[in-house]
Amino acid sequence: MISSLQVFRPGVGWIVPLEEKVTLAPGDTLRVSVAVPYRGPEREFTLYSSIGSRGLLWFDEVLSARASLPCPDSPEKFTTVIGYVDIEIIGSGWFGVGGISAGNDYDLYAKIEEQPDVMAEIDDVINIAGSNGSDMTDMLGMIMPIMMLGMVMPMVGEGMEE
Amino acid sequence: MGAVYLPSEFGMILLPLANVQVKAGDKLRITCRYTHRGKAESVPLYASIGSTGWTGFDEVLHASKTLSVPEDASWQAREAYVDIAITTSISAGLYDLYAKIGGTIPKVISPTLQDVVEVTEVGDSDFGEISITDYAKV
Repeated sequence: MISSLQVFRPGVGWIVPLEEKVTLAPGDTLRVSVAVPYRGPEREFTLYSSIGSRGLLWFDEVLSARASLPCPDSPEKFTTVIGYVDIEIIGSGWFGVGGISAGNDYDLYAKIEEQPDVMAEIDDVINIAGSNGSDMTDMLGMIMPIMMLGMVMPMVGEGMEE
Repeated sequence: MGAVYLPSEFGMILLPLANVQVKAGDKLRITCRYTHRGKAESVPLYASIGSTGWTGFDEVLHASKTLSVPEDASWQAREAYVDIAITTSISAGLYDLYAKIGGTIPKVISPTLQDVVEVTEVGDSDFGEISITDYAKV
């Protein structure tokens, strides 16, 4: 019985299958680590990563972050460069505006911003637990009828006196 | 009898003649040999890479530093250097070089050395396949 398959990629090493879901909540930070073979002059690139949803035509980014990725002088052969970027999980605000809403199966990708073709993506690996935004929306849903009732009641009272 | 007034004077300034190859990210150190006599003073040493044209020297990169020259009773040969950072603002090609001591009105200026600095093309950056090796809450 084959219990697992692993890939060794020269310049990268053993590629661990990443399929485990991570559940995050607003206030958490997700660290996305990458390894990429690099050949060229010493230069600083930008590592970019985003959580969102893969659509048919594009990746709908919800949260993203950047970090510098210093690459060493390696004119002849490829050198593996390791880097990471931290994405802060920001919950959606009022009525789900801004931030990320609670939900399952968000997708994740990372790329070299200066060379966007160099990118990797893992789908359906991020779950977001109830965010502050939805709490606020729920609370607003409860408060609004009470406020409206408070506005209507005096009018009703005035009508009765007449 | 009053003291003898000995103004600060600079004689010739010489640059190395050897051609050099540089690329973006390098630092080119230009060592100059000059002569001096007179009182101590601080003067700028300035060097530039560019191209000599019919309108003059078209500077592309330059650098300067302050030289503190001691008092020299007679002509003394001295040496100093200035580093020019080679940036991506200079294209590949052959360039000329000159140096001078002094500010806007130089006290001494070197002959322009033709085609002594060769800026080579910086190889393109090349990435292999990027892998997300881990993602975890921290």
